[in-house]
Amino acid sequence: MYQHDAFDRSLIAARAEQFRDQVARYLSGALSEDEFKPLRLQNGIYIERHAPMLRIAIPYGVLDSRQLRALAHVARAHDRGVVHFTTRQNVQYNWIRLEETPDILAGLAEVGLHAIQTSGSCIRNITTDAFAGVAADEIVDPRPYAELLRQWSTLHPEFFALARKFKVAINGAAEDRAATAVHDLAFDLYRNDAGDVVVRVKAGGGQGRTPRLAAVIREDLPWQHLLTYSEAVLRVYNRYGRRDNIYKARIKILVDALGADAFAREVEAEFAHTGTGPALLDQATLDAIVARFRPVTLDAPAAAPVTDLAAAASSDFQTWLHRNTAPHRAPGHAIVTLSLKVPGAAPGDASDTELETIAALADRYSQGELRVSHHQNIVLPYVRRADLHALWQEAVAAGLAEANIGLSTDIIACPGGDFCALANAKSIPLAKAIQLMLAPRAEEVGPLRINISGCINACAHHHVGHIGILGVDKRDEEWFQILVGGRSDNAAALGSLAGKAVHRDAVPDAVSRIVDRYLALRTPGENFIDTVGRLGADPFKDAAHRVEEAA
Amino acid sequence: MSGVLLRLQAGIAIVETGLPEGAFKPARAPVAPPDLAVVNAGQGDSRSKIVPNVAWPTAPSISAWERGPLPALAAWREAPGPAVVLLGSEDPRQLVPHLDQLRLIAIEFPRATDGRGLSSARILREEYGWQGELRAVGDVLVDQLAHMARCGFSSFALRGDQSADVGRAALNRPVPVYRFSVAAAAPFGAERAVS
Ligand code: SF4
Repeated sequence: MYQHDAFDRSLIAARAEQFRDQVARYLSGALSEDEFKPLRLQNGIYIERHAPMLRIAIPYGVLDSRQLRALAHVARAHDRGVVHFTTRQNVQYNWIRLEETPDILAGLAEVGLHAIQTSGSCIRNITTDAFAGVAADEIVDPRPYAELLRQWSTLHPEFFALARKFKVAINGAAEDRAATAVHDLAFDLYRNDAGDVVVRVKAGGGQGRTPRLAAVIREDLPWQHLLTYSEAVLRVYNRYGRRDNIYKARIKILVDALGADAFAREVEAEFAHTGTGPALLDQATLDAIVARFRPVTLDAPAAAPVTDLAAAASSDFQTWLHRNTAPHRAPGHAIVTLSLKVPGAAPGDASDTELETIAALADRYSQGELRVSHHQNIVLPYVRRADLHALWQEAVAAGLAEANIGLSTDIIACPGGDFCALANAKSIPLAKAIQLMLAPRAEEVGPLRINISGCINACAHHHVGHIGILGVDKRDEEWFQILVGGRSDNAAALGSLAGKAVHRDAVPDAVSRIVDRYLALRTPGENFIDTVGRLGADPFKDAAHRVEEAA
Repeated sequence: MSGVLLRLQAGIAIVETGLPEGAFKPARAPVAPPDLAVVNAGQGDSRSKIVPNVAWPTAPSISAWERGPLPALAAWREAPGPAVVLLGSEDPRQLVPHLDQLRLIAIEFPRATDGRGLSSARILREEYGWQGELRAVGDVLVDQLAHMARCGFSSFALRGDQSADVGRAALNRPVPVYRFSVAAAAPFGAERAVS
C-alpha cells in the first residue's frame, strides 16, 4: 500500500490541529451552528440520532494492521467498542462525543488516518475494487491512479463548497467490482491498441430519490489527463449544479437536464482550459507515486497444495474456499474475504476484539495489509494458498469464517433507524430477520445480493441490489418497498419495484417467496440475477405482491 | 462600524482596518455557545433541518470598496469604472474583453457553502491571466481564506463578525497542501514537489 512520507503526515497533522481550533471556537460560541456545520462535516462528523457520528476515511479501502489496531483502540476508548464499515469503504463510529473528536483525530493521524472530506459537499473518499492490485482479471492496477485522485482532491481549494456531495470511483479490472455506474464521476482504466493506459469517463450516476446510471462522457482519455479532465467535470458541476434545491443538487440532475451529450460538450469546453493546467500528469509523477507503494513478496510456489488431507475432508472448509476466496494474479496465492455478515449481527459491524484478531490474521497471512470492500467485508489480499487451511481454522475460532460471500446472507445494510437521523425505518433488525430466514438454504440459493436502505438516501445501494429493500414511512409505521433486478457490475441496472410497499413484519416472507419463485424458475446452475435477466422482473413482482395481499 | 480588509502582499497577509460601511457584509447576530449535553445526545431528527428550497440572492450584499462605489455587473455595463462585483452565478468570462480597464474584481460569496466564486477566481487568474486585485466579499469567513487564496484571491473583505487576527493567522501560517490542484503561481501553501 501507499506509504505516507513526512509530507503526508504533516498535512494530516496540520488538519487535525486546525480542526481542534475550530471545535474550540464552536464550543466558545465564536462559530455558530451553521458555520461549524460545513467544517465538522468536512472532518467527518455528523450530528446523529444518539450522538455525533465520526466517519474515518480509508483511502480506496486499503489499510494496514497497525491502522486497524488504532481503529480498534478508538472503538474501545471513545465508542462502545464497535466500528461500522460502510459501503464507501470507510469506517464509522456511532457513539462518540464531539469534544473528544480532536483527540481522536490527532491519535489516528499518528497512523496516517484522518476524516478529511468523508462528508460534506465536497469530493469524498475515492473508492475502487477491493481486489485492486491482486485480482486475476485486472487490466490496470487502479491504486496509483486512485492515490493521485486522492492527493488531487484532498483540500482542493476550488471544490470544497460544491452544490452537494461528490463521489468518485475507479476500476481497472474486467469485472466491475467498484459499482462505478452509481457514482457521480467514475473511471474505467484499460489499454488501447498501442498498449497505453487510457480512461473511460462516466458521470452522473447516483442513487437516492432519482436513481441514475452514469453516462459515458469520454472514451480513450490518455491517463495523463485523469486529473485535468476531472477538474473540468468538477468545474462544470461547481458552476452549474443546482443550488436552490437540495434534492436536485447532485450532478446526475445536471447531466439529466442537459443530456449526457451536451454535458460532455460543456466538459470538453472547460477541458480546453484545464487540460494544460497544473493537474496535468506525466510519467515521472506516476512513477514517483508507484515507487511509494510498499513492495510485497508474492513468491509462493505455483503448485502449492490448496489443502492437506484433513482439510480435504472438511466440507465446511471446502465451502469457505469456494465462497470466500477469489483468484489471485500471482500463482500460489489467493484473495480471502472475511465475512462481517454473521447471521444475527449488524452487517458491517465489528467489535474491537474482532478487529484485533483480524489485524493479527493480516500480519500472519497477508503481509499486514487488508482491504475494506464496498460490500462491507474485510479482504486479505496476499494469502498463500498453502496457508488457507490454517487461516480458516483461526478464522473459525474467532467467529470470522462465515462462508457466505456473495450469498443472500451477505446482506448490505445501512445503519438505518437504529443510528441514522434520516431513517424512515430500521434496516439492521430487518437484515437480521432475513439472514436468519435464508441462512439454512443460502448455499442452495447461491449468489444473491440483498441491499437494505433505511431511507431514500440509499446508503446501502438498494437500487442495485439483486433484491433491493427500501424503508418508507407510512402512517408512522415502518414499511418497505422491494425492488428486483438491480445490479452494480458490468451489466449495471436499476431494480424495478415489486408491487406496493410491504409492512415490516411481512418483508422476510416476501423475500422468501421471491427466492422460492426463483428456485422454481431457474435453469440448472442459473444465478438469481440471470433468471431475472431472462424472465424480467414480473414473475417476482407477483411473488412479493401475493404476500402483501395476504398480510 | 468599519470593516476589516485582509490583503495579500507578496504572499503575506496584512490587515487594513477602516473598510467603509457597504464594503463588507455586516456581522451576524451573536450566538450562545452550544450545550454539549444536547450536542452529544444528538440534536433530534435532522430531517427537520433539511431545507429543501433555498432562495439564492440575486444581488450582491455590498456596493462599496475602499475607493468608492462597487457596481454590480449590470450597472457596471452602463457605466464602466475601475471596479465591479460579480455574483457567483455570473460568468466571469463576460469580463474578459474589459480586463485592462479594471483594477478590482470583487466576487460575492452569498453563503459560505456556495463555492461557485472559487471557480470564477481560477478562471480569471489561470485562464485569462488577470493580475489585478481579486477580492472575496460577502460571507467571507476566516476558515475559508486559505482555500480562497489558493484559488487566486488577493484581498478579503471579512464579514463584520470575523476576527482579523484569526484570519491573518490562517493566511500567514503555511499549510501543507498537495500539488496538482492550482497553478504553481498560487500565492499560498507549501506544496510538495513529487520528484
Ligand atoms: S440510507 Fe437513509 S437511513 Fe440508511 S444510513 Fe443512509 S441516510 Fe441513514
